[in-house]
Amino acid sequence: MNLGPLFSKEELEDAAFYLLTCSSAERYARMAKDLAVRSKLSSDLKTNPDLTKGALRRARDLWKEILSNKQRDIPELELAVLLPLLAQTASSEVDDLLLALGLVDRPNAAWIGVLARRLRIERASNLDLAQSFRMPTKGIPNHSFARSNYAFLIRPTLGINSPRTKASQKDEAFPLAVA
Amino acid sequence: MKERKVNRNPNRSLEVQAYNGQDIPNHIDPDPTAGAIGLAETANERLLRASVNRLGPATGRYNCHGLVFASRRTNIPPSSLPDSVDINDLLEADEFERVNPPPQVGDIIIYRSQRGAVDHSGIVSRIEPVGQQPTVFVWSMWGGLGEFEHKEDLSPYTDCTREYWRLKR
Repeated sequence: MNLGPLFSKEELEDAAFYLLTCSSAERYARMAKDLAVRSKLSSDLKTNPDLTKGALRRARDLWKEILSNKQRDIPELELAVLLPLLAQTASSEVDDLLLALGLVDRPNAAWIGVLARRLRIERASNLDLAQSFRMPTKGIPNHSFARSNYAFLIRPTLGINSPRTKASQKDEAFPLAVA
Repeated sequence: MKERKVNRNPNRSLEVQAYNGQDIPNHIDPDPTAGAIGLAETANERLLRASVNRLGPATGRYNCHGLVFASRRTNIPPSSLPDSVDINDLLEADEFERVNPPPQVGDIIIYRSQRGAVDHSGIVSRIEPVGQQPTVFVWSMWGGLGEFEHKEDLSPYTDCTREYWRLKR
């Protein structure tokens, strides 16, 4: 059964306004997360974790709609607010979804792709942190405590580069990473 | 009013260079749909209470940096490669320098996030004296939503700090 929009009309209006006015991936991700946290669905998912499966189905439906279009449209806006909420769950299906979203190279899906890649990297960093805290501290060589470093995935690929760009990108990619 | 088609040929990049000859990655995106724009416009009226003046239509042809640095020709950076251009480096490559307030008409205004990233850019379009405090108006492209003239502190970017840049003399 296909679910309808998971957000109210006013929530979608705000999503359209704050997301369509973005010119940077960092801002797009930040706005998407802020909108997600402030949504009614955010509190609903906390009180009723069973909603996650339905939300995941809705995310896949929205993705199919995006792939069938050529322009940026309302499904992107709804999915952009939904992804940060799904990214907070432990579901492995979310990892698969984020991976799929991050791989598609289409102009109308570019923003969702960028958001998905960022969320996936943040999830991986959080998992590394969680695993490292559970590791025994006695009798293990130091290199076992090495943090995963995904910095090589986000770097200037063309055009203008600077060490400052690399430094700021690393901070933005790993908001929870330990230095 | 007849609808203008400002973006007849999207989905391509242009050869754009900074003043020092460095290539600037860019991309012309397709336009958002009328449905998505309509939602954003409803929020715009609700949040900003029509205190801004729309100057141009919503389009995926160019973004704020494309207005400021590429004469409305394209988006800088491409949305698929958002980290390929550092606007700080572009300002330097085009030989701009930061100046202290008050700004003057024609200055570039940069909106910076709390983490120091460049979120938005525009051009100071007019300055009106209001008592002892000048009111700075900015002409900028709000992502793909359209060009607006607005007070510098009345926009989607109110969470940002602002700074002014001018060509080096």
